[in-house]
Amino acid sequence: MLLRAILSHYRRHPMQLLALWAILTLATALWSGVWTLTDQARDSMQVGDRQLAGQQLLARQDGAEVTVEDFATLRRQGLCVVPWLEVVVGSGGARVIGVDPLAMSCADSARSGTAPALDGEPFVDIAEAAGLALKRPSRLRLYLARETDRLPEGWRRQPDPSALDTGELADSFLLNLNALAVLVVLVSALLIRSVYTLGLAQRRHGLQLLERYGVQRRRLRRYLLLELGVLALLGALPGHGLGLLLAEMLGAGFGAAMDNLFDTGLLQTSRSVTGFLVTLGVMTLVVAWCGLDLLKVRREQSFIPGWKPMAGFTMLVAGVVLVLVAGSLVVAFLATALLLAGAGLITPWLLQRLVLPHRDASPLHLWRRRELGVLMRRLALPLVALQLAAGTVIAVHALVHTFEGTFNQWLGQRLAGDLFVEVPDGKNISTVASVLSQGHLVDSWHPVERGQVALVDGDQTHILDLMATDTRSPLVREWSLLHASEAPWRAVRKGAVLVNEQLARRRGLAPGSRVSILVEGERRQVTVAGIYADYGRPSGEVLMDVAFLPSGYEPGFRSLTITLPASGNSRQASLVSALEQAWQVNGLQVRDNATVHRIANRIFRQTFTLTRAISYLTLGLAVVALLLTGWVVLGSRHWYYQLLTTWGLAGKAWFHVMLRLTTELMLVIWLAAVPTGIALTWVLVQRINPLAFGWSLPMAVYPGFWLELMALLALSALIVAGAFYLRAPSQVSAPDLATGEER
Amino acid sequence: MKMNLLFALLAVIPVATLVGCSGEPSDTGFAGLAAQGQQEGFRQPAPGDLVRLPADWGAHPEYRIEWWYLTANLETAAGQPLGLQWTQFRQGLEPRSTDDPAPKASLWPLHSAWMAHGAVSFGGQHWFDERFARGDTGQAGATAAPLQVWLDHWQLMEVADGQWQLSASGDGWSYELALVPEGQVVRHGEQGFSAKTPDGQGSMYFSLTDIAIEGEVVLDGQSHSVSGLGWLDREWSSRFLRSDQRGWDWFALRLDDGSRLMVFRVGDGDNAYRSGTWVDPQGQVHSLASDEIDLAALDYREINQGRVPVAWQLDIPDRGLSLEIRAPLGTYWNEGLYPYWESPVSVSGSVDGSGYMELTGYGGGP
Repeated sequence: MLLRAILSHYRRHPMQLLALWAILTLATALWSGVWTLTDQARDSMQVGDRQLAGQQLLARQDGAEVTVEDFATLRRQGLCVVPWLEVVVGSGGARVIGVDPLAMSCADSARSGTAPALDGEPFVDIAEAAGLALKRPSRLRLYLARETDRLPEGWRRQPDPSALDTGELADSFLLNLNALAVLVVLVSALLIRSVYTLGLAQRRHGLQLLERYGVQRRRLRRYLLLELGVLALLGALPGHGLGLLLAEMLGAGFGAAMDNLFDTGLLQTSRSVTGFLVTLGVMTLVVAWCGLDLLKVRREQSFIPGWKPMAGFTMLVAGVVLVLVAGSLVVAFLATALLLAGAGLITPWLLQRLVLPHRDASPLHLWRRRELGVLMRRLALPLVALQLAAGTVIAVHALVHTFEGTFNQWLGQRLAGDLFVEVPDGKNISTVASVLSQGHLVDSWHPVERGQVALVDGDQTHILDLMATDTRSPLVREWSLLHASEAPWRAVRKGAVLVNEQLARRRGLAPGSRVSILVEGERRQVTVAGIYADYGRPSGEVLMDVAFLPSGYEPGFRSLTITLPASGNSRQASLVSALEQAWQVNGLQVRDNATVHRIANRIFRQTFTLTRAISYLTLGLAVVALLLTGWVVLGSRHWYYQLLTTWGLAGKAWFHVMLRLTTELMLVIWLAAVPTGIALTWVLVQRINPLAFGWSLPMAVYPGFWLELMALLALSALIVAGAFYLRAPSQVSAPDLATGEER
Repeated sequence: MKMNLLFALLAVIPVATLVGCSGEPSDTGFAGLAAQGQQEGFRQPAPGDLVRLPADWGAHPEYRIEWWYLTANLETAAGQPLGLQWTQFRQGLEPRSTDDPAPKASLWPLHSAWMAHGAVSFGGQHWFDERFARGDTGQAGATAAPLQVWLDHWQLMEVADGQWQLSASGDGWSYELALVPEGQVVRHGEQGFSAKTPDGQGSMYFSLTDIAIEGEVVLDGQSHSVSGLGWLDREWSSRFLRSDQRGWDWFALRLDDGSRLMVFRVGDGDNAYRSGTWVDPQGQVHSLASDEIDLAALDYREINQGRVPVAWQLDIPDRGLSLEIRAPLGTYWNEGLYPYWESPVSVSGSVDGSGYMELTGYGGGP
């Protein structure tokens, strides 16, 4: 009976119950989806690391895919090579790995380690994987278990991913996503608390009545906590399911991004209950925060009036200091959390002052501003939630767009020229010199040789990628450098080197720095002439002129970048044929740079799909929650607004007042969100990105997007005002007017 | 009688596959595993079956188990004895007729599993390694003409008519040998059908008892020129052990009077099943029945793995043979997935000689 009485509130306000449930469910889904993906990615990396510890990836020098015949050939030459067949099995891009335990026995004797269980999580026997691969995307890799084995002609070792700290980088990538998920939870917590607190205020009379009928306050609280718990569970269960679905939907793109960025695919790993328990735990915390009010004996006024703006200001200052000095990603995220919390505390106080009416304003303006002040107090929590969500969207949008622009420009420089031709193994570029000098076939060209060098640091050496090219080429000289000494290209022609941003940050290098490198066993002291952007590459890279490669240097990979003459497309076939004839090869590997550009852009989009999806879903959640809360709050003051009709504002005039009221409310939220977004953008591109990935981005803002966001908020205001206008007018009674209480 | 060991070893390969080659041997031992193997669909050799050469040098996918087993008693240039073993096993997991095409390599089929053992015994020391592969991928296989048997880079290849090359290497050892098969092919049992139990289970089994060998053996970085004679067994079946047959003793002896003797014993005590083949000095082949052979251990050696009989008395009264067989000092224990003893032996008594001895079911092993 008591329970029915308590729950009768939701019979009268089903939308409120629906709102609470929907926010809880969506918040759980977002959290659970991100957690599932990042957890799966971490598991995948660990599984891969464990099994491939000390093993080297092999690649054919002709760039062709490896086959089972290659495996057999290498084994018959005495190399302890093991196959690794990855097959995409889930619609979410999860993979299983086919391994051959029989072939692995030589690897087991070469290293200590345990054989994997072939239970599909993620390992299966390679025959089973090959069966699956008949109808699914798959990739065969060959790993060399013993470093000492000499490779036969036509084979090379791929750079060892473990030596490139990709694990750490991938971890940073995942930490970024987890941080975003935490932000989602925070925003959701604010929303849930606001909706629940609102409901609690509406139930005050009813609960007091029950107390008067003799129901003990403690018992009432117990029931309310129980209601909250059930509600949390009802939201968390389907939310977790939705989250798994979300992970499945986004998994393919996310897995591809992980693969492209860090060479770590998303594997089919066992789904533990830990994920669900963590989700449940987080949601319980969120709900418990709502329940805190119930446990308080009575509402107490804050012991220091105005503590919130003071605390907010302190947090802001602490956050700014911390974000400037942060040396690790975790500290940077903590600082960001402080900044956001500070902004959240200080914003309502600031906005209250912003909307103070002018003394000489018209009565209607005065009324609207005062009402806006009331609404901002009532809606403080969802308002802050929307501010944070909108700020995050602004920051993520700026980050993605800045990166897109920078990446495109960088890609344009790197992919200058029309064609990319792989030099066949064992062939010399000098052989095709006469072809390349034919003006009707080739406008300009430059060679690129890739290999490895070692950076000597005391008695330690660090393996780096090496890029050697003809730096006289105008295609290379078009590169814009992040930092450079005077006439950097001329310096490189004289023996200096350029280094990528990752290496410069890791080693604290600047133009003019001297470094010691080992090229083909030859030790050299070289000057750093400049630093170039090198997005997506985890490893450090050194660029030098080909003229300074030691004689007899064997690059791992050589290519030509060729610009065709103006009417060159029709001559491409002739050029390829002439090159094949000169080298006496068939099937020359030629790629047009436009295609490479497209592929790179696709990888880029995959990388940010999840980030964008989370931020937009959060914004959607916050907008919907604000709409619902706004609807309830405005509804509770409906009688008061009806008074405007008694003042002579009926029909459209009344609607306009309401529209201005809701629009101004949205506008102040937008005003609060924009600086939050700008600050967050700066933190992301200048602080978190360098810490996470080793490279920074230029700071850029996109006012066009702010206007789009404002339009979205204005639309929300229009919807609320419109819905309000269509609502049947309530009766205004004398007692209401007398008490001045809202319902 | 290497078959017993081989049957057992091959039978465990699927088990090893499931546990990633890290599994412990089953308590039931070699014989039990061999006897319990999946035989459905595989052909079973029977009396009357014949050895057909050269086809039978190649693989028999319609049978479950087979091997190519070479042991050699060699000497270094300094006259020091050196024993050597190379063995390759195949275990069929799915039967296939010889006429049917092999499954596609790109499917990494697990229709058969292969295993190879290589060992060298010299100066009281013993080196051993083993390798594994799945069949039909090209990593391991066997063809009859030309003769090619390989697993990884361990391979026996016919390089010219009547000339073979054998190479293998492991941790601290390697050999590159030129082999010239001499003498006749000895078909054991009844025209090559060799019974292994009193109730007639058996295998197809033939041998080359005299293979001239020359080449290089490298041990711990030191190269030795070697020469001598080898003995190659070729055997295939699908089932011939009873589950109660635990352990076996096998001897392949080259006697100084020009005769050759192969004797094996399965099991122990009264239930032991003995069989053999005697090739007399004139080259006549005689099958030896169980009751013609007396075999008893004379002396044991305590090694880390347990107690192993290293000296034997072998009597075949009807042929006037009374032989004492003795392993040299040392521990010749093949510490593989399934460990066993494989050593060169010297022979004295009614006639002197040398050869090889294989013992399973001793020590802590199965």
